[in-house]
Amino acid sequence: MPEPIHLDETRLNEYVDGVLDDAAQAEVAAHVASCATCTARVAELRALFGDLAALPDEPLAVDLAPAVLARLPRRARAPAWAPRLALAAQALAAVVAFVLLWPWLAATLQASGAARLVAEAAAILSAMLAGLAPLWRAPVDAAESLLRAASTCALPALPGPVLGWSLGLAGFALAWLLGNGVLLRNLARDQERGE
Amino acid sequence: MRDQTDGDLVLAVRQGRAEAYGELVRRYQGTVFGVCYRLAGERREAEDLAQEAFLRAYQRLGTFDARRPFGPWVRRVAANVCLNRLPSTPADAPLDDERDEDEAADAGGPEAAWENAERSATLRAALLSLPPQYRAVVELRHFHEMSYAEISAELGLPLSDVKSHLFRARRLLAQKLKTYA
Repeated sequence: MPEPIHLDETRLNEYVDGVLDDAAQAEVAAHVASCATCTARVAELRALFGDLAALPDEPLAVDLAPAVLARLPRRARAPAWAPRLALAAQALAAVVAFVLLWPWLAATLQASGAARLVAEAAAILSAMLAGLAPLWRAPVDAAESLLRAASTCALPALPGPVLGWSLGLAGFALAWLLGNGVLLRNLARDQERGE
Repeated sequence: MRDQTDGDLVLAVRQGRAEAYGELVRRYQGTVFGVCYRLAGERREAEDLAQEAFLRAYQRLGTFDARRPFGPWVRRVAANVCLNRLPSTPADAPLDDERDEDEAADAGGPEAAWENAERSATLRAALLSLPPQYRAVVELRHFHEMSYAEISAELGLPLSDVKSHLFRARRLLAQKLKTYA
């Protein structure tokens, strides 16, 4: 009985690679099942695949890490504490800047009559709340009484150094939050995770 | 640091922590060296190529998606480094046969171990004797499990060339293995 026409090399390789569609895969499988020559070629290919898959990785006798690390660009070897140092330096700079600026800031606040401005703003808010009174009687009463009390108050006459340091501390906290917290907090957290 | 995931280490490296990259190198230097040794065939050169591969990977770390596995990616980088260095003619130098013989001896000397080592050495030599482009497609297809289309994109070859290189390479390898047998 004559053998059927054999499959070409491309078809056989695609079959063994499993890249044919289902119909073509089935067609080739049917031919291979009926053709001793193609069966042998498929077996040879599969044996080669097995040999390649079983080829072990050659063991490495040396640790490459020291040599690789020594060749990394200097930028990569920034010390881990650098972001923390940057945080501290920026916070310190914010404090120093605020203390140095405080005399000017205090004089500006005095000249602008900050206490009078607070009282006027409270009076306006109080009047607005009074207009909404029918809707929110109970809570508005409470708020109105608070604002009325605020409208008659003045800034406490704290001793100069206490007021200065208090405002300085508040300014420092604000400067730190805006200047450092947003930008460097994530960086510090990522570094914690990388340890 | 050893219990960190690869993704965590990649993030740490991006923050400038070089020692985290050292840990990644230690984790994957074995398989990266394996790629280089298959393609170069000489131990010292393979070590140099593996170092180059890790440096190249470091330079490209910004393009790596830290949610994906690092191993296949760095092995592919290593393959690229090696393929760019492949000579235009098949390698003349034989593999480090001495090493394979040592392994057979280390295994206690049973005949099966010796035969396995012999077969591995034969296959490595057969791979090295292939023309570089054939070797490249075999490496990417069989050791990196890339599709024809991916190999085509990786090597900048038409799909038809990828197939013809791959299929001819397999035929040559099968013939050489028969000859050595």
